[in-house]
Amino acid sequence: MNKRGGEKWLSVWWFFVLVVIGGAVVIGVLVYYSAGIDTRSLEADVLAERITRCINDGSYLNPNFLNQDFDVFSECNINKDLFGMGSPYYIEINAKDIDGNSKRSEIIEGDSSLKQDCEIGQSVKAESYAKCVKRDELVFYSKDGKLEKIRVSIIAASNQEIKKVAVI
Amino acid sequence: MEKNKKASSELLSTSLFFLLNLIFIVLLLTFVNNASKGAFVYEEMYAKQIALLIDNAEPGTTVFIDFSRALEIAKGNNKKTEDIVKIDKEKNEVIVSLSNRGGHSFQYFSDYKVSSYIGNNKLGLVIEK
Repeated sequence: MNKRGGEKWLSVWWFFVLVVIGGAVVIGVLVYYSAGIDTRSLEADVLAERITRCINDGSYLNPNFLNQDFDVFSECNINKDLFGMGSPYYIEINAKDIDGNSKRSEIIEGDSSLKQDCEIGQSVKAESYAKCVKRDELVFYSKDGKLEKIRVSIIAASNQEIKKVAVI
Repeated sequence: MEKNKKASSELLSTSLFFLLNLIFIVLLLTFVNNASKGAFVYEEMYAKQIALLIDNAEPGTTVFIDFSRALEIAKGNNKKTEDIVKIDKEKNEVIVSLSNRGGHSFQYFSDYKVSSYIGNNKLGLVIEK
């Protein structure tokens, strides 16, 4: 009777249960840690903040901003080489007066498909799609000796993923 | 005598059962602990943290990060301190490696001149225009 009891404890069934529990824990841990740390929203926010800081100088508009040759890369210290096709970044800047009239041509840099991804991501669950940040800044600028308000809208997107490198 | 033998056999099998379960639980907890402290988790975390700090910093500043955990892991993996962080100015990338099995890289978008050094369990990032 006792021998049968001992055999019950150490049966193949019990080891099967251990393997199932162990396997589930191992798979769960691997899935959890391979998911990574998602910093795309944070990066898009940092990018939007950088552009805001170089356009909005203490609530006053950067005097170069309304010039058509305004270079967002040199003005905001951003590396232009990273904003080509297939870039993990996207920026869009609009400037309108209080009546909604455009004050300069739109500035669009980076991969424009990221903006579409963000729009899709708002209506459906899409974990791997880019994350966007939108900011509206109301700043002053001087026109004919008068202070006028201008609304600057900034959209920044990031879809950068961490990369594994073989050798360092 | 026979009764004692049976009781002893039962005690042995029960002890063996608990011992095997204990070994199993210890192995499982060790695996979970190692996975949570693995180099790859910290490589990703530090690479992203450094890149985001560079992008958020003003030029002319030096930013310090507590790097004690990274140094501890790197030491455990016999990784040289000077090979842990590399700033690739050509690709605008931060590469962090805490083992001898490669590392993880993350891009920063700033056009700043960035250099790094490690001292007093801290990583210093010098950001210049």
